[in-house]
Amino acid sequence: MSVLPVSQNKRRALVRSLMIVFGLVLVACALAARTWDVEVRGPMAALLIVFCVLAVLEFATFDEIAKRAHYIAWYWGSVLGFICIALMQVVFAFEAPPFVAAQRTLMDWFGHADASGSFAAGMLFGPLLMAAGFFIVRGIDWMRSR
Amino acid sequence: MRNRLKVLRAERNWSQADLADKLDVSRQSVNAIETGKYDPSLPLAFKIAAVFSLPIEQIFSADEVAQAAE
Repeated sequence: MSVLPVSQNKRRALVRSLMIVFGLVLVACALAARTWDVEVRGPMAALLIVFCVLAVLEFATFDEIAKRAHYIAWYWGSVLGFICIALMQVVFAFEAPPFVAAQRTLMDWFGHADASGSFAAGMLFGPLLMAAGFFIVRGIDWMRSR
Repeated sequence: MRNRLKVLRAERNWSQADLADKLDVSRQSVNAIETGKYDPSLPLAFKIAAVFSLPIEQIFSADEVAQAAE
């Protein structure tokens, strides 16, 4: 017999509460590391894994309408992120005069890095833009459904 | 697709939250169905019909059918 509540709504509430608790512990770990110089990389990595598992469990408790809203937000949000990435590629690929100022602004923003640094920043920045797109689309949808 | 969810719910004095609990979906989902922003899947439509103890066609109707009836 499962220890989880039978009702999907109650299961979702339980998983969400756990996510909030683990999220707060994560923030507390980050603050502790900054304030008291405590070594928390190991526990934080473990907490992040638990958080990811909870995120998957939360998605499983969504009803069909919430799932559809997430699919749509991920699709259009990712497209939005890709458009931003493509625009930046265009700015850097062509040395056309209108792009020079934009290039300079972006370089001032992000600074210069070696090849591995640029690769790591790109790996982080791409998904970040797509995630930002997800939250924008999800936010608009949420506002409209209220 | 049109539906009579709001009317049927009002007849039974149920809030959106009450209906959401009975269907095991979120209140926002009930609102989305009621306002016609989302057409439920067949399993959910059958569940709604079971909750109201009515046949599906008495709750949901195609736009053209509803227009013709008016």
